[in-house]
Amino acid sequence: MNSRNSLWEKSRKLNWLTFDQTFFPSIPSGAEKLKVDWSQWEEPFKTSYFQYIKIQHSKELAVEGVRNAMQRINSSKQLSRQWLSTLKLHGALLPLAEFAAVIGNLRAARFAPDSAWRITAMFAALDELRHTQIPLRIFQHLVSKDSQFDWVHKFYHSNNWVAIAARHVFDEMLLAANPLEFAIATNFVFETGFTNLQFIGLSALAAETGDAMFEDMVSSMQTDEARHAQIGSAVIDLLDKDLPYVQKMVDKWFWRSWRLFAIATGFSIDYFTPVEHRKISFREFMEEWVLIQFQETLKQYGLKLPWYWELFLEELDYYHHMVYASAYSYRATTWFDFYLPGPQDEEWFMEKYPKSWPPFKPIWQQIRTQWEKADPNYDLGVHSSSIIGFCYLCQVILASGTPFKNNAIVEQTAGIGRVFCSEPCQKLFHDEPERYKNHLDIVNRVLIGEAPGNLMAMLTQYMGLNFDTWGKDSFQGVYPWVKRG
Amino acid sequence: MVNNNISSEEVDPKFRLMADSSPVLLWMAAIDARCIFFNKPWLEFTGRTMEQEIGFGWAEGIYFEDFRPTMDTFTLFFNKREAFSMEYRLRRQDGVFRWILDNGRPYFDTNNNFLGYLGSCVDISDLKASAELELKNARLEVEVSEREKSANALMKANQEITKAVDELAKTNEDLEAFAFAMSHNLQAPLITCINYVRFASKSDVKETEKKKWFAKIQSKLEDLEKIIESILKLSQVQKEQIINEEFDIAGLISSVKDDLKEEFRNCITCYFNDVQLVKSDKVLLRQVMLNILHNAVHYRHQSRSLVVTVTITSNQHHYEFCIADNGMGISKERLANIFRPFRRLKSSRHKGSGLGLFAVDKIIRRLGGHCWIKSDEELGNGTEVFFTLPK
Repeated sequence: MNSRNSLWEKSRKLNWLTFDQTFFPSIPSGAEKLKVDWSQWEEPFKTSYFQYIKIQHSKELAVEGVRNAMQRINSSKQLSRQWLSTLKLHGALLPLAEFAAVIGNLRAARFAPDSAWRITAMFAALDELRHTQIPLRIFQHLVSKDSQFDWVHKFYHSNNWVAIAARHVFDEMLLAANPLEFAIATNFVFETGFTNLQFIGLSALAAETGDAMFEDMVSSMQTDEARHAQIGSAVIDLLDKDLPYVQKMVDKWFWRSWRLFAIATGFSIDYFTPVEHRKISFREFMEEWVLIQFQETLKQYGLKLPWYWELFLEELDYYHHMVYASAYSYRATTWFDFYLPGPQDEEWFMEKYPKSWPPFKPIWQQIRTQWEKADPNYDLGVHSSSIIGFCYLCQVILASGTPFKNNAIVEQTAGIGRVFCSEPCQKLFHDEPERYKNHLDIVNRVLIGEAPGNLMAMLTQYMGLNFDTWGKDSFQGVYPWVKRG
Repeated sequence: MVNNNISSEEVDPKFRLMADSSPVLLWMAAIDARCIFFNKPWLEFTGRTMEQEIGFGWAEGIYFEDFRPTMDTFTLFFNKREAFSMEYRLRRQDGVFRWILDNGRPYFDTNNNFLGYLGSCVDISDLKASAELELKNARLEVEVSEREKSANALMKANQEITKAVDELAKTNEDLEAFAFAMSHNLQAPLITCINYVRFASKSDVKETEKKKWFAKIQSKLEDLEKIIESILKLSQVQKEQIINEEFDIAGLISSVKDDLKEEFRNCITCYFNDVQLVKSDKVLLRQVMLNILHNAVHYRHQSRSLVVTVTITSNQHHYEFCIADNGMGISKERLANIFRPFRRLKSSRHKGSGLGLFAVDKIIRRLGGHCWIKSDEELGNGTEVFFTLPK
């Protein structure tokens, strides 16, 4: 071993002699309650700063190279309009969420109870900074061609309902969590369980659709994820005596991550990927890349499957379909366009979701019928205008359940009425009511007078959308299967 | 599909000039339903700029409750390319929401290609307020009228109650008087009988004297029987159900005459004045006629033959009967209480229960009419008994 590496081996474990409350107060560190010998903390994949910057530099060059090439050939023009919505959706969800992860990692870099953990967290913060910059840089040249790409940066600064829901998760997961909860929620559940493999799947999809730029972007990000996601497992390794705490965190964060993930990835795989390029369904992807691996990991650490596992397995079949159908009817409230499924899509859905797809057929038929009567230039002619219900906890539209069986729960507590999309969301609320009781979804904001009840005013004045940026049908309702007289 | 979507800049300047001079609010929408033009009055009304209003910006000013129905109507008719008329509240530049009547029509080029919609709006808030006021007033008037009706009904009910109370009071009075009189009139012959029996039982009374006393007793008992019979009849009068039927009045009077002694039947002359049929309770009316004619017979003048005339007249509302006799007449003092029970004029000679006119009055009142008597003993012109019966 060369002298630099051997010095690195020693220096990474240079630690305070005592775990002093002065430098590691309990609230930010979160480690006081747990009696663990954090000096045993070991990450499987070690790297020095020198190695880090060298590797990252080569990645940056690769990404920059692909970006420049794609810009020159104006590659976005060749992409399907359907697929562009994947870019807009992920492009908006990623950057500032990643930036919040920078802050979360920096908190761990400061307050984690072990030096090696702190160093790894510092590298993770740098990773996340990169993940902030990449989508902002990649999509920036597309803003002049399509103003919806402006939302790659604008999204989290807006009062769009998706942003309200996303902030609700990420503020808590990334900005408010102590290093311990951050490690379990972000590194272990979200990154190991979802995004690590999401990026692999998305990258493959991008390749199928001919989007080399996005393919390169996500696969580059995934290599970082693989490294810093290990923080989670390293932390859980030492919490074998505090499994109830870990279990509670896993249960909470798996459900909260699932809600966002189902929308972002479910839409991308099953709806925004043109049917001829769809190799697997969202359900198959989850089963292959997330469930098996996740179940194995839980077993490995002596953890049980979350108590709502059966409901989650059911939801794989229909939740993202429900949200998509609802969101299609309110597409102007988003910043990306929506594709109208046709006969080929329906065949594919019947093959992939034989149990759950039939109730959705008449919904899409109804929308197609409306398009047949409507003017293709008038997108709002096939659009709903009344305000619908949202879950008090996850702040996503109420879409748990099937068209025939609504899982929503209405309750009155201390004179306040609340609606939850499902039992897990209700339980999460009651586990920490002080944390969540003042959060307001878009409907509650209307009710207290903060947001306007008039849809148009809400889109333009409250959500910051305008005619050019609000979501429409990807093809303005002009499809071969929409027969007009 | 032909793409005839024109932009805001392409709106004809002459049209703009004319539109801006119009007193009404005007708008124009392109084929994608986005508004491309609003005239000056519209912009002054909303207090917003053209840039803020074009596209769908104008819809931001719709009152939130009206937003959905407005957009639904607009969408429905736009898709059908038909004219529409809708009302909704739109925010004025001072923040007040005003009711607007918005009329839109599609317009086409010479090749019948759809070009969009033209629309005009007027502020109908005052009209609506006035219509609402009218409606409120109409409702108020109905309410007032109903209250007036209720008040009138109440007043009428009060009057009826007062009348009923008065009648009840009179009835009570009558009952008291009747009860008093009845007990007196029943007691009197009984006491007399008792006395006669006492006299007749004395051992030193001769047989011829006893026969006289027994004859007197029998007479008194017969009187008592008549009184009791009259009372029974009277009670039946009160209880019997009124049966209104049409009957021949001449036939009724003729049957009443048959109940009188033969010598008096021909003393009665009737003047019907074209009244042939009367609708009333035949049985009760017979009783009335009988009681009155009995009185005429009982109280005939000693020095002249009895003459009784029965005159019947009618008008739109009632029949009027007048039974006039040339009898003794009734003094003014007795006339005042003539319809009270047991009021007889000359008790010793003129046998009667004293209930005849009392019964007449009761019956006539039950039949819905009223009764009165004209007489003056001093004048010696006899007595006229009048009563009416409603038609």
